[in-house]
Amino acid sequence: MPGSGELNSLADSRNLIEVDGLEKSYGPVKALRGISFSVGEGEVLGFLGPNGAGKSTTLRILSGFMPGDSGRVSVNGFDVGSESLAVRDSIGYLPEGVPLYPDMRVREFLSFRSRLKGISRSERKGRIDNSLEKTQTADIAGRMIGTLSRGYRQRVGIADALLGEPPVLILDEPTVGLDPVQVRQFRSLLSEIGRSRTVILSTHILSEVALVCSSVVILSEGRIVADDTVEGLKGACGDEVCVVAEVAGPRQEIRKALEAITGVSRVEVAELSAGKGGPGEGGYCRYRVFFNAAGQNAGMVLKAVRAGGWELRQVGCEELSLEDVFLDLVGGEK
Amino acid sequence: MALFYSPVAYVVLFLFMFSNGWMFYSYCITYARAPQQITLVLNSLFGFAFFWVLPLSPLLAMRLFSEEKRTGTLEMLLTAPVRASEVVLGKFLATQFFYMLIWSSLLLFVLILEVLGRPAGPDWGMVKSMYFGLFFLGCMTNSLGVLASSFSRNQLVSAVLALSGNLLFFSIAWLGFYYRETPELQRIFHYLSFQSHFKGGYFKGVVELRYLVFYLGFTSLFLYLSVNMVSARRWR
Repeated sequence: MPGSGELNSLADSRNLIEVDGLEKSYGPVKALRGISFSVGEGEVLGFLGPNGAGKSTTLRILSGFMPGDSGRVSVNGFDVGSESLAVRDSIGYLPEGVPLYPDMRVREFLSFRSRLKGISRSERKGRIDNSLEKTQTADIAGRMIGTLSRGYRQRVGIADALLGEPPVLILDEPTVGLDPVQVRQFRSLLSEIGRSRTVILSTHILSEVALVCSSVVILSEGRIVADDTVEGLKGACGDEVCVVAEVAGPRQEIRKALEAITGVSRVEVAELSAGKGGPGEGGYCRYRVFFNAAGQNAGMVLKAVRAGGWELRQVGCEELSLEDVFLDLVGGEK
Repeated sequence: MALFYSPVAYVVLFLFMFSNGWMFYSYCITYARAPQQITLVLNSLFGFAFFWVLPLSPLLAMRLFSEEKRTGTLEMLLTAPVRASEVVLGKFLATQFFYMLIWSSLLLFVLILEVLGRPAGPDWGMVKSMYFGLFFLGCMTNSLGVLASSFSRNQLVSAVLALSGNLLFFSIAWLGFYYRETPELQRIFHYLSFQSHFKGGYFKGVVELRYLVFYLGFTSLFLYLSVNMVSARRWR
C-alpha cells in the first residue's frame, strides 16, 4: 500500500523504495511477517520500532546484504534480488555500530571505499573532499579510525555513505551511543543531507523522528502498525485527549472508575511521593487517562472522581507525545 | 590491502626471516669446511624453510574473512557495488602477493652466498625452480586459507581448518609410502603429494609443468567454493 508520505513530496512522487509483502524468517523465528511500505523521492522516513521488531532485518534486505524469503523489494527502480549490483550502486548504507577498519586512516579508508564504489581516479579526490566537508571531518582526515570517538566514527561512516553520491541513504540506528551534543550535530547534518536525497533511518529514539523525519513507519514484531507522516500521527491525538489528574484514594477503585468512562482507551497510574496520607492507598497518585478522541474529556474525569468521592488535587490536559502514540501502538511494552 | 595494516603479517615475516636467518648462520658454520659448501648450505636452507609451507598460508589467510565477519565490516564490504567473486579474488591475490614477498626474503641469503662465494656461486637454476614451485603451491594453500577463513568468525578456527587442510595434502605422501609395493599406485601418489614435486623436481632445478594442473585445479576449486560461501547469504 503506498505510504501516505507521498502527500509530503513535491511534484515528482516517484517511489524510490518499494516494499511489498516482505517476509523473512531466521530458522523458526519469523522476523518479518509480510510488510509493505514505500518511500517517495525526497522523503526522510523514520523507521521506528522496539528492539527485535525487524528494523535492521528490513534495512539489510533493502541494502542487498541478505535476501528476503518472499515479497518484492525494489530500490531506485531495481529489484534487490535480481539486480543487486545496481541497487548497491544507488545506495549509501551505514550498518548498525558503524563498522570501520580501525587500522586505516580516514582519508585512506575513503579512498579505498571510493575505489570499491567504482569512482574514477579523476573524480576520487573531489568526492572525498566533498564528503569530508559535508560531514565536517576534514580536520581528522589524517587520523587513524581506531583513535576516533564514536561521534567522529559515525561521521566518517556517513562520509563514506555519501561518496557515491547515492540517491538513497539507508542508516541503521545512526545515533546509538552518541552523546546529546553529537546527536544534535547529527540531526543538523541529516536535515542538510535529507534536502537533496531520500533517506530511510531506523531508530528507537522517538524525539529524533519528530525532529528530522517527514514520515514514520512503526514496526512491531515483524508487522507494520503505523505508516503515516509525523504530523498525521500526532494529529490523530490533539490535546484534551490525555487528561492528567492527581487523585487520592484506593488506587484500584479509582482506576476502575476512570477506565469505565466512555471513550477511554487506557489509564496509567504513577505513584507520587508521600502526600498527606502517605504513599500507597490513601496517598495521591497521578492518573493519565487516554481517550480515543477529543471531547469533553476533562469534564468526564472530574465527574467520575466527584462521583467516587475522592480527593482531587490537580487536573489538566496533556498533549500526547510521539512516545505515547508509539507505546500505544506497540502495546505498551518497553 | 588490509593485510599490510595488520601486525600479524609483520610478526610472521619477522619470525620467518629470523628462523631462516638463524638456520642459515648455523648451516654456514656447519658446512664451512665441507666441499661444495655453497650447494649444501643452500639446499639445507631451503630444506628447512620448507617446513614453513604448512603454517604460512593459514597464518596469513586466517583473518581475511573471519575478522570482517566478527567486526561487521563484511556488511560494509558486501553492500558496496562489488561482486563476491571480486572480493574473494582480491583477498586471495593480496595473500598470494604477501606470501611471495615473505619467501623472497630468502633471496637475501642466496645473495650473500653469491657475493661471498666467488668464484663459485649458488645454483640459480635451483633457486628459480624452487620459487616457481612455491608460487603454485602457494596458490593452492592460500586459496585453501581463504576458503577456511570464510567458514568461521573466529580466526583461530579458520587457521586450524586451513592447517588441517594442508596437513591432509602433506599426509598423502605417507599414504604413498604405505602402498610402496604397488608401482601403479605409486605414480598416482607421486602426482598427488606436493613433497614429491619438490623433492623430485623443483628442488633439483627441474621445472615440471604437469603438476600445474594439480595446483591450479585445487586453487580454482577452493576459490569457487569461497565465492559460494561468501555469497551464500544472498540465497539463504
